[in-house]
Amino acid sequence: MNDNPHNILIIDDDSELTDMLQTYLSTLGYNVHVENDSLIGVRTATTGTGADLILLDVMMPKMDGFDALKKIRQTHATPVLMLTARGDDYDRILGLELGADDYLPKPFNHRELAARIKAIFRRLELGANQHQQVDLSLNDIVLSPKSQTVTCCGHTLNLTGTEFGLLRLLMVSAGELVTKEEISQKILGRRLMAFDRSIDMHVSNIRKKIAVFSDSEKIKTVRGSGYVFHDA
Amino acid sequence: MNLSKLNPNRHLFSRLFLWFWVTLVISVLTAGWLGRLFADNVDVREARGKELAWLESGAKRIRKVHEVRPSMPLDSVVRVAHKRGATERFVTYVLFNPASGDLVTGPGRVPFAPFAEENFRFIKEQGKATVVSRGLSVFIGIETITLDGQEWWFLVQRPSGRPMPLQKHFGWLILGAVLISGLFCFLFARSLVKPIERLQDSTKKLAEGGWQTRVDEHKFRRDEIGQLVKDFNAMADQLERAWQRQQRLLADVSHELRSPLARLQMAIGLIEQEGSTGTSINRIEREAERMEMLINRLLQLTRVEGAQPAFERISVSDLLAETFNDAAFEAQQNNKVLPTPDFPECTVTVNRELFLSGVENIIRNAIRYANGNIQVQLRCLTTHWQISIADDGPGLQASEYDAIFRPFYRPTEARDRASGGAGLGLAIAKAVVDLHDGDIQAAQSSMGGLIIRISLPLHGPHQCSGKLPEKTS
Repeated sequence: MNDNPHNILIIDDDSELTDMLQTYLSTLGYNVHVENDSLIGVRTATTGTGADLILLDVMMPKMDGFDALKKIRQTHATPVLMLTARGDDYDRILGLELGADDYLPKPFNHRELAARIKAIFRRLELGANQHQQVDLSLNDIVLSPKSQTVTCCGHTLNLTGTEFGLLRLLMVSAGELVTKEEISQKILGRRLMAFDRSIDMHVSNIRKKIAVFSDSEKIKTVRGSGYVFHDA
Repeated sequence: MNLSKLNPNRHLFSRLFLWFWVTLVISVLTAGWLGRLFADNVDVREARGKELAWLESGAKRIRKVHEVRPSMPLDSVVRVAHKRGATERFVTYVLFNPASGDLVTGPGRVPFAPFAEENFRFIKEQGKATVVSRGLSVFIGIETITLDGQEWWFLVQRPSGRPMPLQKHFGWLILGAVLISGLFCFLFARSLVKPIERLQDSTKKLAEGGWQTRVDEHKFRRDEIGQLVKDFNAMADQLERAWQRQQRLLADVSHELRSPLARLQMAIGLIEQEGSTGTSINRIEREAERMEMLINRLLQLTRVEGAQPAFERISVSDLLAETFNDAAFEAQQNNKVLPTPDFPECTVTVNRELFLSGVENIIRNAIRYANGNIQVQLRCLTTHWQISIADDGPGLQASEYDAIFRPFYRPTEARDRASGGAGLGLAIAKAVVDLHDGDIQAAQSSMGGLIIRISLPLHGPHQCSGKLPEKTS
């Protein structure tokens, strides 16, 4: 299938589920590594070559998914897909705030899972293909696709893959409205769902990270439609 | 004080008050009367000056009147004789016939009439011109008068001491006693009823579902009512625990169902990956998804019902604009129309997350059942604000308007399971509205379908009182 298959690390204590997940995702052509212990899982995620994507369960003994995510985010920007077991809005929001790239409420439909994983890897590849592209420099923000870094007034911002992709999309069309529908399709790889707050959460995370170094508003909300990046 | 409180049929307070007061007044009066009747401190001394003069002049006058008018009945004789003695108004003349036991008095009558004979014989034994104070009367006697050959004993009776001040003001004293006892009975009845009323407030709150309601035991005396308060608190503890256990169980069951469901869904994925397809697998998948939705809703409901949320002040448009945009979007995807409502300029107090989940459930419901149109209206009044969400769908029977807010209520066939409802959306909405001390009602919309009206206090829930907001028409 793929000469250079992506590595997926699954951290979930439900071994029966992870067995099936492993089989399922391996069949789809991914290299799957399973850790049923969250502590060991975090160690695996933060050492060696690590993984290209982490599937992280929220409800785990010893260390829950949020703490694990915090730990991982201290050193790594590896894309994380949270499996929020509680179907709880609060869990989703907390996961996204802590820097998860996307979430999937558990139990989930297998096709949905496959689609989300694909979307995240497509985003990564898009980023990889942008190595030739020039840096974008607008309104004190410098975004460098080559090095996958963003600086604000000279300070480096620590953005997740999803946040990076979203900011880049907004900066490419600076001064123009980018609809939520477009963001959802291009960044999250799925149709915009009603009552889904994840895009707003990602934008809010970016704003917070920028606000540390700059007072001026870079991203404007157009209520109900989408977002505009101020070009000056 | 509210006068209706005095109706003894409806209020323990007035019953206690009236019973105690009436009982007290009656006993005071009886005691006073009996006291006068039996007060028997006999005091004997010799008659002096004026007393002697009353006795002698009285006897003289009676003899004289009888002499002048021998045919006059004796009681008239006594009265006439008394009238002539202008200086002795307050005394009473008494004639007693020791042979026949006849008694003639005037004016008025002598107290202790039944015991008169015994009394008079006692006085007679003391010798001539004796003053005997007995009870509230003083007798001066005895002067023997012979009328028509019969021997009569003549006595002068006057109130004890000088004309008694206490006796003169007896009416006022009684009135004072009645009023003072009334005051004390009032205080007493209140001291009994007040704690009951306080307890009643808490009982009412508990009955309305305020499971945290407790009564402060220290504010009550350690009497039977204090004991009742203790038992009430114990009962409230039990109820709260039972409620929590039920909530916990529901939440736990829902949680625990998710893991096997997740595995089930993954297993379906594996089967499909292996190449098996077919209607049965589709069916299994669909049922798994339905179960997932049901569990999600159940969790949502338990979360709202068990919530002790924080409230925030927010403008109506900030609160709802995005939700209605999303709603318009979802309606549009279902080929239905939901025009964005006008947002009134006012600030409301809500728990944003829970409130929006409630509104979302109503909107989703409306979109699901509408034939093509959904209408939303928002209004701000002085103390409340209102949302109404109407659809042009099949609507409901009037008898079902209350029932649809119950969990798992399945109304008519028109709105059944096949349309995808879990039967919990409106129950969640009601739980959210209750949490905000609001009111939610269903009715027929002008478009023929269902209209859900919510009315909420502008300033958030009354944290302490169990009052419901005014109903909206």
